[in-house]
Amino acid sequence: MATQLVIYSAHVILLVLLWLLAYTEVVPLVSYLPEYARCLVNYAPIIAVILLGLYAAATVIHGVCTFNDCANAKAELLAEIQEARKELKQKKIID
Amino acid sequence: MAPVVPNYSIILPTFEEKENLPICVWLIEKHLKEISYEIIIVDDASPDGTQEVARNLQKEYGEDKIVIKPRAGKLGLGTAYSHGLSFARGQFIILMDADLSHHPKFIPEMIALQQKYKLDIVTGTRYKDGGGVSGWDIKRKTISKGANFLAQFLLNPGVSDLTGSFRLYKKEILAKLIAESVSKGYVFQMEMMFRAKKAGYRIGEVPISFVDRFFGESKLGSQEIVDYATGLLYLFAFVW
Repeated sequence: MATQLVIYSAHVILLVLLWLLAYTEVVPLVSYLPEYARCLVNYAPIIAVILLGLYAAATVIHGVCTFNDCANAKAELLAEIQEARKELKQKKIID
Repeated sequence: MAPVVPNYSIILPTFEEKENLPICVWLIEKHLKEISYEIIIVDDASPDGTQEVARNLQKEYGEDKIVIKPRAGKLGLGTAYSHGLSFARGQFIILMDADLSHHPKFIPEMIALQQKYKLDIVTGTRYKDGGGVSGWDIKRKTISKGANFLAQFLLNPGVSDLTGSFRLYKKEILAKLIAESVSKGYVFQMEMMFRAKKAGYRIGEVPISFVDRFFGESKLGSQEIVDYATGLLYLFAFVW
């Protein structure tokens, strides 16, 4: 087994190498592409970072919006605490 | 009467929980009627009289059920667990907080899930299938979700709630995980779960509703956030 860092690095390095092959035109990918797509290839790393950031932000915002507040759990617990205090006082465990 | 060896040992680390501890024990007693268990209270020399209350509870519920194993001072959570563990008679250990944020009604669900799938660990989750938190404002929710996203993204642990501390473990597995884990605080819980996953243990999840403490302070400052981030990077870069 490897650390997560090693696993992630392996993926990132592979992607960077593929991109470099296209960017430096060692593989003549760009020449087959229309003008606007060349721009996409050139800026691919920046686009990837931006997309990752958007994904992170969207996930966190979605998580906060759908956060389960469980108000019932609190009400139920408060009722149980009342009951517990009464019985514990009777048994002289608490004052 | 011969002492009955309990199947489950509940370890409750306490520090200044005079208010909460008796209610917590009462709730355990109420919701675990059918289950053979003991409660091991590891109190870190609380000045507020937590141990007196613990002794009152022991008189009421019996020395077989309430085991008090205090320590000389505030020595940290990891060592509190291993201290409690060294006295545990059950095959399974349940870790929970005594501050009423973890409701004992979920313990029978954890036990049932463990038995059904012969699991090594069952963890409570606040982030899945009806689990949730009561009493958090939007800032706390954002920090929590952000921290959880980072952990999920970097560690890919296959468990939705890494920092929770309401869990059931097979005894020998908990002992092994505690011995291996070096982190403190929130990160300690995360490290144990991450190592468990890496070791290939069978882990299940039970949704829990977490009611943030209303007696006493719940701490989350910038120091906690820095500790969390460095702990996460440690797990990401150095643990395999």
